[in-house]
Amino acid sequence: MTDIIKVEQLCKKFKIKKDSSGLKSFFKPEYKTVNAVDKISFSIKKGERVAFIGPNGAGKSTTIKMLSSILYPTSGHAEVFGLIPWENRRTLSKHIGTVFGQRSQLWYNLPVQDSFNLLGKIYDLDEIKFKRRLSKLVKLFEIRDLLSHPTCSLSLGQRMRCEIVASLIHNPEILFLDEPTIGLDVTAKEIIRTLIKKQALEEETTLLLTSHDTDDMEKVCDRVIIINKGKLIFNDSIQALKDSYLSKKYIEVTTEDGEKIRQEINTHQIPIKKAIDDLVKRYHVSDITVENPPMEEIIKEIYKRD
Amino acid sequence: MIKAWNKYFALYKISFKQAWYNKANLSGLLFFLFILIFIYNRLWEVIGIQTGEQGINSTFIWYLLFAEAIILSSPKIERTFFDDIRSGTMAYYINKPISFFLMRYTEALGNMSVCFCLLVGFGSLATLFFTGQPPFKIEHFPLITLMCFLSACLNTLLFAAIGLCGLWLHSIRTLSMAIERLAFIFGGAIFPLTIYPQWFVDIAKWTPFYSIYYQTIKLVYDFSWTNLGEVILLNGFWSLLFISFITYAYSKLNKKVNVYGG
Repeated sequence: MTDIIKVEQLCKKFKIKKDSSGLKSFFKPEYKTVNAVDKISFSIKKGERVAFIGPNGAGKSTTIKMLSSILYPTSGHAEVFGLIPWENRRTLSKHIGTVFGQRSQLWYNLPVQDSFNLLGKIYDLDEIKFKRRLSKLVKLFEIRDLLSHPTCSLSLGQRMRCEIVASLIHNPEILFLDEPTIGLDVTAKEIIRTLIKKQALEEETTLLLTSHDTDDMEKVCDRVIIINKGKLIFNDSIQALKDSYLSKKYIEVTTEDGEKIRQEINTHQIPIKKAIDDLVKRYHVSDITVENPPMEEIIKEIYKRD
Repeated sequence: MIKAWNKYFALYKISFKQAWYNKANLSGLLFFLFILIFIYNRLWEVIGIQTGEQGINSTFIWYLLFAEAIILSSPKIERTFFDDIRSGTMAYYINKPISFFLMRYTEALGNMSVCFCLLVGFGSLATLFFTGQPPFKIEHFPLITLMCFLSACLNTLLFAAIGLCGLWLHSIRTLSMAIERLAFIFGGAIFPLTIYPQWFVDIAKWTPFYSIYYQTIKLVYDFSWTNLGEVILLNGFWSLLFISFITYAYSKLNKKVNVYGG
C-alpha cells in the first residue's frame, strides 16, 4: 500500500519572548527558542490507524498542525496525499478532516444541524450528496436527537461526537484527531473510541490520533508513534509496544470498607484474569479498576532500555 | 464562481437570523436612539427658535439619525479579529476551503444589516413623529439609505483592518478608541462639519471619515447626483485602500499565524 503521509526531518522551532519587564525589554526584547518538533521522520499508509502519543508538551499537536496545513515548519519536508500541506491548504482541505479536542468547529449559538449545513456549503458539497452523507454519519454517531440543540447546550461527550461528524462531512480520506477524548469521563471516552474506530474501519479512513492517554491508542489504533521533547522515540505496532512496555498493569481494588488496595502486576508472569480472581477471593471487593502505566513511565522505560 | 460565494451568502443568512435572537441588545439600541433623537430634537428646536431658523431641527435630526445608524450598527469586528489572531482561533479555520477574513466579515455584515435596518426603520418613524417633514424628497429615501448602508459596510471594513493589526500590536484598544474618536470629530458624526471652521473641514477632507460619514450623510439635506457621484468615488477610493492593506496584512498573517497557533 502507498504512503499517504510522509514526514522527513520535520522541525518546528518557536521563538518565545522572555518574561522580562522594564525599559530595556521594551526597546530590545529577548527571545528564547524552543524546539517543539525536532527532526522527526515517519510515514503512514492508507487506511492505517496511527496513535501519536506522548506527554504534555511533547510536540504531538504541533506535528499534527503542520500535517493538517495549519502551521509552517521551520525545516524539513512533509507530504500528505502527495501535497505539501502548508503550501496547498485549499486543495488539501478537501481530503483531510481535523478534530481538535480543545477547540470547536461548530458555531457556538447555532443548532448543530445549522452548523452542519454551513460546513456543507463551506466544502461546496452537492445538496443531495451532503444530505445522504449527513444522514449516514448521524446514524453512525447516534446524534439524531442532538441536531436541533445549540452547540452551547451539549455536554462535552455529545459535542465531541458532533465535532467528529462535522469533520467527516466532506468524506475526507485522512482524519487528524488531536486529543479527542480530553476532559471526557470514562463512559464518554469509550463511546468516542468505539465510534472513531467503527467509522475508520467502515470507510477505510486513515487516522492520526494524538493523545496522552494510552487507552486511546490501544482501543482505536493499530500502530503507535511515541514522541517526547520533540523527538520520535518509538514507532511500531501496538502489539510490539504491548509486548515490550505495556505488560505492566495496575489493579486498584476498593473494598466494602472503603479501603483502597493498589497492586502492580506483570501480565507476562500472571494473566490479568488470574490476578483479579486472586484479589476478589482475598477481599470483599466493591469496585475494581485496571490501568495501564502512565505515559511518563512508558517513556522512562523506553529510554532505560535504549 | 457563484458557487464559491454561496458559502459566504449562507454565513450572512445565518448571522442575519442570529442577530434577531439578541432581543435585549436590539431593544437597547432602539431605546438609546430614541433618547438621542428626543434630546437633540429639543436642543435644535431651541436653537431654531433663538436663531429664527424654522425647521432646522428636521435637517439635523435626520442627519443625526443616519450618522447614528452607521455608528451604532457597526459590530465590534476589530475585537473579533484581534481575539481570533491572539488566541490562535484563526489557525483552526485556515485549513478549511474558506477565506477566514471574508467569513468573519460576512458574519459581521449579517449582524450589522439587522441593526442598521432596525435603527433606520424605527429612527425614521421617531424622527418623523418629532420633526415632521424630512429635508429630502421621499423618492430619494431608498437611495440615501442604501448609500448609508454601504458606508456602514465600509466602516466595518475599516475596523476589520484595525483588528488585523493584532498581528503586530499586543493591544488594539488604544488604536480603535483613537479611530472611533477621530471618526466622531472628522466625520461630523454628531454635528455636520458645516458648523466647524473651514481649516478644520480642510483637514477632515484628508481622512476616510469625511466621506464615510459626513459626505454620505450630507445627502440627507443636500441631495444631488453630483454629490452622490462624489460619495461613490471617494468611498470607492477608501475601499480600495482598505482592501489593499487587508490583503497585505492577511498574507502576512497566514504565514505568521504559527506563532500564536502552536
